[in-house]
Order: sequence, then C-alpha cells, then structure tokens
Amino acid sequence: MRWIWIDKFIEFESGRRAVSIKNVTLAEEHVHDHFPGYPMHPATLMIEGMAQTGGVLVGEAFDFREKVVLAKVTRARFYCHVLPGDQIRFEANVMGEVRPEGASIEGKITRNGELVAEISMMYAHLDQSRAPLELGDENFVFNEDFIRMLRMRQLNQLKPSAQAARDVKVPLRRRIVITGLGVLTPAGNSASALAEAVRTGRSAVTAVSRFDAGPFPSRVAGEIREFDATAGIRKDQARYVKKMAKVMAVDIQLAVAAANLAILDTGLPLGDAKANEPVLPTIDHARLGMVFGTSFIPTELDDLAEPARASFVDGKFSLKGWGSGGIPKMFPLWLLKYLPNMHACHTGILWDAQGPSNSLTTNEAGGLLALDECARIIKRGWADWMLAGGAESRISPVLMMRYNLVGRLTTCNDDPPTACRPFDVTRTGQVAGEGAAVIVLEAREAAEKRGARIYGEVLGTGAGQTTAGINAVDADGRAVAVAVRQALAMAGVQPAALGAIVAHGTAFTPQDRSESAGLVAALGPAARKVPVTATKGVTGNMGAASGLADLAAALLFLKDGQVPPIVNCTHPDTEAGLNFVSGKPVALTSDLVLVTANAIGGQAAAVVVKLNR
Amino acid sequence: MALTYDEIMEKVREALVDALGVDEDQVVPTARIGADLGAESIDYLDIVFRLEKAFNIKIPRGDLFPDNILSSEEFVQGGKLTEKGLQELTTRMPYADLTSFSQNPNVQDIADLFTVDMIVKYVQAKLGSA
Repeated sequence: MRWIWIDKFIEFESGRRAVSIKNVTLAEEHVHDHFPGYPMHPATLMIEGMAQTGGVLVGEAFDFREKVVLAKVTRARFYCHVLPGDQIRFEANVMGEVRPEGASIEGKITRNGELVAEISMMYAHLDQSRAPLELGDENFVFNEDFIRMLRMRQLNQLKPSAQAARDVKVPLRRRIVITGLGVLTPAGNSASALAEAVRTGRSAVTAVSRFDAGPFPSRVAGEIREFDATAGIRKDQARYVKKMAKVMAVDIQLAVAAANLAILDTGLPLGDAKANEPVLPTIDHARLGMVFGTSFIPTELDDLAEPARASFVDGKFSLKGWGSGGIPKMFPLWLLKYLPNMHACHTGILWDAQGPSNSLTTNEAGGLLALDECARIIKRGWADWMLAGGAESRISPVLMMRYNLVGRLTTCNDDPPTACRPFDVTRTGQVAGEGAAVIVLEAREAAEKRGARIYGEVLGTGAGQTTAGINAVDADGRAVAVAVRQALAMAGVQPAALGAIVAHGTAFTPQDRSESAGLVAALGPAARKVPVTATKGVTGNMGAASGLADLAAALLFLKDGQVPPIVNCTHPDTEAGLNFVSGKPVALTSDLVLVTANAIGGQAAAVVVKLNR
Repeated sequence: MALTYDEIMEKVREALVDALGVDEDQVVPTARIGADLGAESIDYLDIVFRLEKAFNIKIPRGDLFPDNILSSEEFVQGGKLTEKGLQELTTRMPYADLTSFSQNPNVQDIADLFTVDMIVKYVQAKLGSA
C-alpha cells in the first residue's frame, strides 16, 4: 500500500506556501469501511493529507536534504463530512520561516471554497543519515523515488525559481528561432548581398544620385538603385502593391518589399489564389503578426512643389495663399503616404496577418526594438510567427539638409567608398543611407514541426533609454549598457562567452563613443577580448533598418567562423577599450553574437543570438 | 477650343491609371470604376483630385459621385430607388446612362453607373458650361 493521501500539487512557493488537491472516490476501499453503509473520507486521512502537503513544503525548503517528521498536530477542527465525488483542496502556509530544526504550518482544507477543516501542525527535521536508524526507513512516506518524481513532474513546473522571483527579466519557456530574412540595402537586395559586401570589404556608398546634391555639404550616400516590391508574390498581392504604390513613400515600399522577401525565405508555401486559398495556407493567420521600427518620413518635394507655388502672393510664400491656393493642390491622400505605421498596415493586409501588429518610432533603434517586442509577443504565447521589421530612407533633400544642419553627416565627399569610417580615429560623421530588413521570428516548436531552415535562435533582447536630449547621446552610453545587460541576462550568457559583437557604429564621433562606453560598462573585462565589427562603412546609416540588417547579415557572414573587419576602420579608436576588428578577419570563438543599436535621441537596443551553423 | 471626347478620355485614362494602379488598356468607356477597376471609397477622393488638376476645374463634393441620395427615405425604400429617387438621380447624373438601371433600380447596383464613359461625359458637361 502506498500511504499517499494527496493527488497532486497545484501551487508551490518555495519555503512559503503549497496547495494540493485530492479527489475522493468510491474506488477507494477505506471510503466504504470507515462507517459501513455511509461512505466518507476519514478525518484522520485529511490530517495525513495536510501533513503530506506541509511536509513536502517544509522538506523542499532544504532541498529534501533532511527527513521531515510530523512532531505535533497543534490544532485540528473539522466542519463537515467529505463524501465520494468531492474534491478537497489542502493549503499549507509556513508560519514565519522554515528553520534548521523544523517549522510550523497553518493549514486549511476546503471543498469548492467551503471550509472543511483547519489544521495546524509542527514538523521536526531529522538528519537524513540518522533518521532510518532511529525510526526505520519504512516509516517515512517520501522515499527517494517519490521525491524525484515529485520534482520532475510537479514542483519544477509549479515553483517559480528563486531567480525568477528576484528578476522578472528571466525568459519564459517558449524558445524563438529565426527562419526568414528579407533585406534590401545599398549593397543589394538580399541578406547575402550585404553579408558578402561586408566580408569582402566592398562599400556601396557613392555620390548622391537621387537628387542634385551639388549645394549640400554632404554629397555621398548609400542608395538602393532599384527594387521590386512585387517580386515572388502572388498576382493578387502584386496588384495590391501596384495600386497602393501611390500611397507608399519609399520607406513603406522598402518595408513591404523586405517583408515579402522574408516571408518567401521561410519556405512557407503560398496558397493558390485562383482556388481562393489563404496567402499562407499552412499556418494560422491569427498567429501571424508584426512590429516595424520606422521613422518620420519627410514629404517628397514633388508632392509639395505645386501647392507651394500656388501659395505665392506677390512673389512670396504666404500662409493665406497656402490656405486658399495651396491646400486644394495637395494630393488628398498625402497623409496616408507618409504615416509611419503604414509599413505594418500594408504588410498586414498583403499577408492577411491577423495577429498583434505595432509600429515603433524609435529612430535607429527601431528595428532591434521591434525584434525585442516580437520576441516578447511570441513568449507570451500571443503569436507563433512575428515579422520584426525596420525600414527607412534618408536619401531625401529635406532629411539630408536637416542632418547636415545638426552636424551629423560627413563632408568628406571626395572618395565615397571610404566616407563612412566607424570606430576609426579619422572618422568624420555619418553617411546617409537607406534600407529595409525584416526577420521572421518563429516559435521553435512551430519551426521544428514544419522542418524549417533555422538561421539562429534569439536568446535575449534588451532596451535602454537616456534623457540626453533630442539631438544628443550620453557620453557614458548608459542606454546601451542597460540594453546589453538586459539582453545578456535574459540569454543567461556571460560577456566573455560572446563570440562577436556587431555594433551600430555610425562613424559620428559622439555616437560611436557613447556606444563604446556603454559596451565597456556592460561587458566589463570581456570588452577588451570579444571582437567587434560593424557594417555601416558598406551601407551608410540606414536608420531604423540598421540593427536588423546587421543581424540578418551577421547570421550569414559569421557562418564560416570568421569575424570580418570593420570596413574603413584602419586606425581603430584605441581609447574606446574595445577589440575592434581591423584589417583582417579574426576567428569566431563562439556562436553567441551580440548586436546593438544606439540612436541619437537616446534609444538603444541589444539582442543576443545563437548562430545555427 | 473645346476638347473632344477622345481628348478628354485620354486625360481621364491617365488620371485613373495613376489613381487606381490599373493598366491603360483596362480603362475603356464601359469599364465600371468599382467593379472593373477596383476603386474603393477613398479612391473617389483621389480621382476627383486628379480630374480637377488635369482639367483645371472645380468638382464640388457629391457632384460627380452623388453621395446623399441613398441616405434619404424619400428616395430609397426596401433597397430600391423610389420613383422620386430615380428622378433625383436623373437630375443629379444627367451624364450617366440610366436606361437599364431604371428597369430594376437596386441600390446595390448604383455603383455600376460610375463608368469611365460617365466621367468623360461629366467632364465634357463641366467644360462646356464653364
């Protein structure tokens, strides 16, 4: 006979509280024999059930190293009978704390919320080795097998770990993998094109060709020459994109194009439009969502020119003229073309994504922060597929003039390919760029079930903020430090275990220095060892697309076990305290990679991934 | 000199191609703006804007695409236009061909009256009276 009088635990807080249940049924012999003719659950066995609930609670507090014996039933009061068919609930609360010599508990038994009994008891700890000698092993209910099973099957799931109680950033159990990459950058329209340009040190920065930048102080840029937002998608989807193009600024078109590439890259089959199938018939569209990192989009001058001309009164621009002559000439849907949430809007419609959808306007940190949010959404169990996106074009006369005026852009225009020099002592500022990157995050169980190709696993993400000001960064890089620490903690990765860091590195000195300081603060002594690379020498600053494009490319360019050098970083800033890769690649010593983003304005983000290679 | 039907048609075609992302050869006189060319409610605003620009005319709200007939009980009953409603529609859309619609004036078929031909005739009337 097994002397066990509870069925299972349903709540367990180590050293504090435990709740178990017991189903009383006619299948049990003792129910019939206690009072023949009136089957009921004996009160003594309720005391034993409470003793076992409290006994496991007390024993677990010292990791079952000591035997627990019931020393005294201080008080037991019963209020009603428990009959077959009832489920009773034992709740044991430790009075004060579990001490080396033992503990007291206060217990309560209920049935559907109705009080059945109140029982208080005391336990004594006996030394594990002495106890069997004094009392005989057979007198202990909980043997090793019982405790092993209890731990495996119940307590490990119920008990929030001590770490979790202290630190809410501990990951939930769902694991997240990367199964699709869609990237458009000045280096080409795929993640591998960017990876290859970084590996071979080929910069895609050229003289500005989009508009006449002649009078501008900065006349170099990373431009995307052409792309097709309808490539590879269904005819009905292509029709939608074509029709909506009039209300999609280039940022939005880039985002849609990257999302298409990313989804097509997952290998999820497209449905047959003629047969009226959903776009992705093998997945539940309610479990597909997205978050995009975006930026404000300046109105194209072509849209403004005619209304502006119509606003002139006596040869001068006039607000009154704008009201009477200008506004009627404005394209009536202009707002839809420039809203920063339309990336997700069109992508969501195009792919019938019915799950969570959001847009984050956090400047250059937007893409990685989107990934942070996507990972959390999957962990919460609200979606199985999330598109983490970022898209931005800075190749606009309005934006380039603005960034010129605030002194962020380089004015070294003579040799475009070497204009952007991240972490180099001769750096002179950012190069305006444009791009889009979408990374498909998928719950690991979903990806494994469909045999998906897995690029890597997202282990940890983090976000940080400062109050440095709208056009500033903190010199001590505290936002970066917060984000990196969070990402490492969530990943459970020590700084020294990292194989490589792909830093934001825009080549704008205050921004590079702030990022370096933040990395040094978060990584400690490991900062001098882990190789740091960066990609903006190739692309220029792609704004909200940056971090995700870096991550996507890194998943590919690190595959051969080499960390490529930072393009155009020939004289690394030695004062930074980091191990910048310069000149030639270095060996990747582990598959754990940190990617960071550090925006002017104070937003920072970090992600730790494990490469699958 | 007044523009011919074909000249107006050419500009209307350009406006519709830009507004609706359709191919030029889809924009034929009989094509319905909604059912054939895929216009949604917000596109009508865009079409009006592009026509105003192309022909340098003013198109008051509800003039080209009457929008307040359907909300009146006087004009609509049981999902069909009343005799009065049909009269109102004829006055408001003199350039539309109501012959077959008036046989069975279902409200849900009213969007089919908005054809490319109707727009061209509207512009013609507008330019003629200017």
